[in-house]
Amino acid sequence: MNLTIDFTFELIRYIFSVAIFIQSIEFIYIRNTFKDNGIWQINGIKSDFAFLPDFIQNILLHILKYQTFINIIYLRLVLSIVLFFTPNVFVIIVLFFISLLIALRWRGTFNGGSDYMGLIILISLLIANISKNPNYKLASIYYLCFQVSSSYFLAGFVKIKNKDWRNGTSLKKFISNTIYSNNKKIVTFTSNNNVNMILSIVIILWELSFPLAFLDSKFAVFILCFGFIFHLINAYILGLNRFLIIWVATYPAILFLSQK
Amino acid sequence: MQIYVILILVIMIGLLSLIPDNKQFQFSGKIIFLFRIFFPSWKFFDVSTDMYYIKYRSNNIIEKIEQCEWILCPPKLERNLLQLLFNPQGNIALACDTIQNHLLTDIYDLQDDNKSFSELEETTSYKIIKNMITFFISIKNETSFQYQFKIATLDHENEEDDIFISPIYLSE
Repeated sequence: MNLTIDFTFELIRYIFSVAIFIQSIEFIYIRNTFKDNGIWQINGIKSDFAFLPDFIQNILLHILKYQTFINIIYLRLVLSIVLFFTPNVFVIIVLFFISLLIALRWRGTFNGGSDYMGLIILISLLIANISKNPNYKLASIYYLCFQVSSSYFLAGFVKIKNKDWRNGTSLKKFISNTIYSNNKKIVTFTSNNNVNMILSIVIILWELSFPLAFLDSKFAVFILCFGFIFHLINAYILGLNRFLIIWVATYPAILFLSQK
Repeated sequence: MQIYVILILVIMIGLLSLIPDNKQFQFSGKIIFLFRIFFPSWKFFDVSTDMYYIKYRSNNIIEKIEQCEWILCPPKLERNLLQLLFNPQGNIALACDTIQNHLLTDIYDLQDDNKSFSELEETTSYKIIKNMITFFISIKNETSFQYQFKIATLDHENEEDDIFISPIYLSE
C-alpha cells in the first residue's frame, strides 16, 4: 500500500490522539499523587522555580497547583478527542503548551523519552498543518523521521560502545531490576548468559540498522514490525507502555519516506 | 535519495564518535533541567551502573523504629496484559525511579561540594522523596508515628549496601 503524505499525517494524528487520550486518563487515575498531600505536591516542587522572577513564579504556581492542573489534564483529554477528528492548529498549540506544563510539574519530564517524542510529534503536526504548502508537510516528515531514526540509532550506538551491553550483562541487569516482581519465566529465560548476549546483539543491530529502513520499503516494514514487537516486550517487561504508542505513532512517517 | 541517506549515516557516525564520554555534554542549570524536554536524550539504558532502590521503615507509638523491617518503596507491582496500554501504577513507579536518581545526584553533588546535610534536606528531590514515603505509608493505611528511609544498592555478592540513611522523622 502506497501512503500519500496526507494519509500519513492522518495516521500519525489518529495514533497520537489515542496515545494522549490514554495518558490523560492515566493522569486522572493517579491524581492523588499530585494532590496537596501527594508525592508531587506543589509545595514540594515550588523551590524549583525560585530562580524565576516573583510574578512568573506566582503564575506558574497558580497554574500548576492541583485544582488548576487537574482541569488542564481534563482539557487535554478533551483536546485529544478533538485532535482525533481534526488537525486544528490551535488545538495542537494548546496541546504543546500542556505538554510543557506537564514536564514542569514533574521536574522536566514525567516519562522521559515518551514525553520528548510526544513533543516532537506535536511540533511535526504543527509544521504540517500550519500551511497548505505541501513542502511544509514534507519538511515535517523529514524532521520526524530524523528524530525517530536518531532515537533508535543513538540508543544502539551507546550500547555497542558498552562491553556489558555487548556481552548481555546489562540486559540481564535491567530485566531483573524492573518495577515488577520477578516473574519465574522471565528469570529462567534470562539466567542463560548466551541468550542474553544474543538478545543484546539483536537489539543493538536492529537499533543501529534503523536508518537503513529509508532505503527500501520492504525492509522498512520488517524494521517497523520488529520495532512494534520490541516496544510491546518493553511495555510488558519494563512497564514502558507510553513508549509503545508514541513511537508507533511515528511509524507511518518512516514508511512514507521509505516509499519515496 | 539512497546516496543522501548513506551520507547522513556517515556524518551521524562521524559526529557521534567525536562526542567524549565525560560529563562535559551534560547540561547544567535549573532552566535547562526544567526544560530538558526540548533537549531529547536518546541514550536509553546506556550505563550499566549499580541498581539503587529506596526502602523505608515506620513504627507505631509502641514499637521502636530500629526493630521495624525495611520495606521497598515503591513496592513491586504485578504484571498484567492491560498494562501494555494502560499502566498508571507502573508510570508512578517509573516516575519515582526518576526522583530517586535526582536525589542520588543531589547527594553526590553535595558530597563533592562538602555541603551540609541540612542543604540536602532543602533540595526538591529530598522533599519529594519524603512525600513519596509518607504517601506509600498512607496507602498501606498504617498508623505511623515515625519513619525513616534509606537508599541502598546490591554489591557484587548481592549483599545490601546502604548509600544513605535518613534521620528519623515524625509522621505528620
